[in-house]
Amino acid sequence: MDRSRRAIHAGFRRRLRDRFPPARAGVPAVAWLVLLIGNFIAGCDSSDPEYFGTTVPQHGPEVLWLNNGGEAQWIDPGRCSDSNGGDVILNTFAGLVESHPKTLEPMPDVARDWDISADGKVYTFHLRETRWSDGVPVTAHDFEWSHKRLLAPALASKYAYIAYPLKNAEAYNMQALFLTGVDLATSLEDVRDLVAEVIPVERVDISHDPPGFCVFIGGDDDQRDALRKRAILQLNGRRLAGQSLTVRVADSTLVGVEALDASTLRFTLENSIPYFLHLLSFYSFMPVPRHVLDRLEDQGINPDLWTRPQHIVSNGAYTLKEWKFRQFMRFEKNPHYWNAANVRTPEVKAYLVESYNTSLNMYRAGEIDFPGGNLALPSEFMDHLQQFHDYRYDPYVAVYFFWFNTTRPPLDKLEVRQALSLAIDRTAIVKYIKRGGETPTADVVPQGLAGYPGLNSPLFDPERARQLLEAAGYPGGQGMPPITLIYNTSEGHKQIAEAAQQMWKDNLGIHVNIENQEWKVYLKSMETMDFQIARLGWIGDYPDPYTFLDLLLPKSGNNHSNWSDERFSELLREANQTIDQETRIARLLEAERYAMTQQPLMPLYVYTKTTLIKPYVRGVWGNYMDRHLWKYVWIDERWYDGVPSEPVVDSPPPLTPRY
Amino acid sequence: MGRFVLRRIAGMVPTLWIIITLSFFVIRLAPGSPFSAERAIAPEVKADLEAKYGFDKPLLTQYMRYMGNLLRGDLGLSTKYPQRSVNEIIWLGFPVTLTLAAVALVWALLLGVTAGIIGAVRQNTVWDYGAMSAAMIGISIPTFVLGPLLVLLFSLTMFIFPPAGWGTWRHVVLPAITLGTIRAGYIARLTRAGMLEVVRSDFVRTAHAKGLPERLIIWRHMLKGGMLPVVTYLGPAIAFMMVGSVVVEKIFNTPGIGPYFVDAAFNRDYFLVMGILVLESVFLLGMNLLVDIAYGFLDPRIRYDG
Repeated sequence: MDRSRRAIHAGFRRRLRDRFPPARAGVPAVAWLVLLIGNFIAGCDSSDPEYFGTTVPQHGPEVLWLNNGGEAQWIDPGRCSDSNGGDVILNTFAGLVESHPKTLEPMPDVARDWDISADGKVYTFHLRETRWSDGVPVTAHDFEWSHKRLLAPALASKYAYIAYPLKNAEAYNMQALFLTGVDLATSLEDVRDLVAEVIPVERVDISHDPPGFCVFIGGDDDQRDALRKRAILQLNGRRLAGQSLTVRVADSTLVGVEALDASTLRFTLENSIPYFLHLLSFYSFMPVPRHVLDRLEDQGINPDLWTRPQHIVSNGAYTLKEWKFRQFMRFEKNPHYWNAANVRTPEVKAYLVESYNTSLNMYRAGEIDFPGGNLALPSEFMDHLQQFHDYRYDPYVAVYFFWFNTTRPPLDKLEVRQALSLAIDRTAIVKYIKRGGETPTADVVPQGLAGYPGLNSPLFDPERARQLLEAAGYPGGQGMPPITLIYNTSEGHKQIAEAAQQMWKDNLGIHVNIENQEWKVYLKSMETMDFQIARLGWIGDYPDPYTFLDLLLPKSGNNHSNWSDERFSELLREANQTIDQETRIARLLEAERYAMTQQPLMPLYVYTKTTLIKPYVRGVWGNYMDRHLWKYVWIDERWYDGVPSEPVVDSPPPLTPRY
Repeated sequence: MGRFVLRRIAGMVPTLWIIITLSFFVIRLAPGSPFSAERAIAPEVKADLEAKYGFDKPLLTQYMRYMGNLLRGDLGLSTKYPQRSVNEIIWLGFPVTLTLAAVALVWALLLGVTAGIIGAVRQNTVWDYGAMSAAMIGISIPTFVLGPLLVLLFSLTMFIFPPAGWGTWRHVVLPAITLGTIRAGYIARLTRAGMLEVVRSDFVRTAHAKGLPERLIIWRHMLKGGMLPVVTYLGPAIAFMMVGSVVVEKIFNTPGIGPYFVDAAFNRDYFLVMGILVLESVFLLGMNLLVDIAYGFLDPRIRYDG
């Protein structure tokens, strides 16, 4: 860095520091006052000053008190799409595989063993003999039924898309039309043209099983049933390339999951995806006790209520015993869980506290041992909390970024987007605003995800940014049309938006307006692309680069840049058809590099999860997915008598062998 | 009296109807949908969800259906808590908020009326100034300051009351004090003003002339008249408590209906917003009616003729 640039840089940081002094940025005076008095009082109470609040457990060693975040929307694996519910599901249900609590490596759970076909598309799982918490055996049929239920259009599951890697899963969920009896050599365009005569078409794919074509219907959401009927009526028996068409709506029998017998389950995938085992440890793939839902239906009770404590049956480490709406859920160890011998804490009380202030108060008083993963600590308190031994942070598979609407001038010019991205000092944002150990990044995919080397795009280069702006025809920001950055109302997002505004002004000489919107209004703006620049965070569903790259595909529904590129889609498609992991990673890297040269978005940093854990709580290991299964957690009894002299050796469990 | 009550109840019906109708349409004007989220959901899924709640029908049809269900006592399904009906959510939360408000009201009355009497009886003394200053402080401290301060003092330092939650009497104390203190300030000032007005009235002078003891005059003659402004204020006070519990219930994670006032609107949880509004309107109109009736008993000069 030459001297002038270093001077700019230093001046910039100074200004940032003035604007957001590390210790006070954005803290309402009240919170400050409370914290100050708290510090004063904390000086007087008996607890260890090295820790935040009491260090003596307020309960026996047989129980764990934690905060699960707010009230769970659903704890039905098929319907859940909220992380509060997801955490409950992961602890009460057992899937085929689970992830290792530290490395996230897939380990066998209900599956004892599995075989993967040479082309990586067929997975066969051999199940252990396990039981539901009511003693009924868990079978491969339960899994098949549950996965098909997740995809059933009538269930309207928001997370059905997580199962789209299964063969024909998307077609079934979207109720696509299968056109069979036609020569596979027919061009996609011909098929499309024929169908488009009758109904609007979203896209056409070639299908190998059943052999033919798969047509996804377009048009208005609520008209699609009628369109489907019309298509069947008018297209059945039509001739295409000399052959007679048969049209049917995709149904569950075509989906690539099948129970071969009570203990063998076979998945057939659309493509070979190396993260499939990780995917199976996601909560949507946990089994649902069909026998309970059927029984409730027979008794004339709404089967949607099967997750209430009086009805629920699960197959995981814990069972739900009590559920006080918006207060707490109480769980007890499930004696029927196959690995119950290794469940360390017999009882768990999970509070449903949404506010982090309240959660911190309860933590301090010892009413909760672990505020849980669903609440991150606010950056205002970070400097204060960092000084305690019970503070900890771990990298989290999530990226914060600004979307560019690439069709709105002046953001339709690539150079403008690149200039805006290079003019942001991400390191300063992380250091002075976020303050939770986040990693600054200009890449979409976080480094180190499943062996991904990372693109390492330049983080900050104001000189180059100015050159790019000049190349775009706005030297020194002259003649730049107005730009507005929108964010959803929140103190944290506001600070970042203000910092970005200041950096663009200092480094590029342009004024960017910033505007906050209430959450649902904001979502509407995003959906209708009514913005120029908009902030968003993206949390990966599984530890693989694809969960981020998928975001930039035009059909993902989450691409808010209006940027779509056939070459990028092609690169991803190629990567997905590669079995060799090394080649695949190289392809994905190429795809990301290509996408980032087009700059449809500008990433700012990779998240961390910051939390507090009482020193007597053991068995919580940091991992990328912020997944902490309660069955590994236990209370170190020595803390009942004060601070133990010897530190406890707390190594994560070994990878469970397959047997 | 009976006819007065009946007439008032009859008058409440059109008021309620206007409130419900206006809110039903106004909430729909807000941009965004109950199902919009960070992650896009498939169009088929969205269509199915909307059909489940009837949002796919024209707005007027939805309105007619809502009013029909309302008459049968069915408040619909929540979108934020999809496995609970609005009836169940209110059934679980309303008693909690009511308990909290009732305890807070008792606290506010105890504190406020005592301070008011002291102020009036010892007018322009240190006692008066002290009581009225305390009342002023009570009015000025917002609940979101008082709540955390009480938590710091009683939960994190003295370990007497739990910092949050619900279930035992200990959980009620801090939120009720937080909620009631600000009202106690108003009540103190109103009691003092009401009492001072009565102090100079003829019937009090007569009581003095009869040679009645001071305490009897305060309790039997002055307080009854002096409480009139307080009683008038009770209606709005209860309303304030219900609304004030938005903040207090958040601080103490109390499972009442308070937070729904704000959250349900943010989440575009249409039926929950409506349910809370209907409940609150009925409750408020009822409270006002009770206050009017209580007037008749407290002040012999007011009588409702048929």
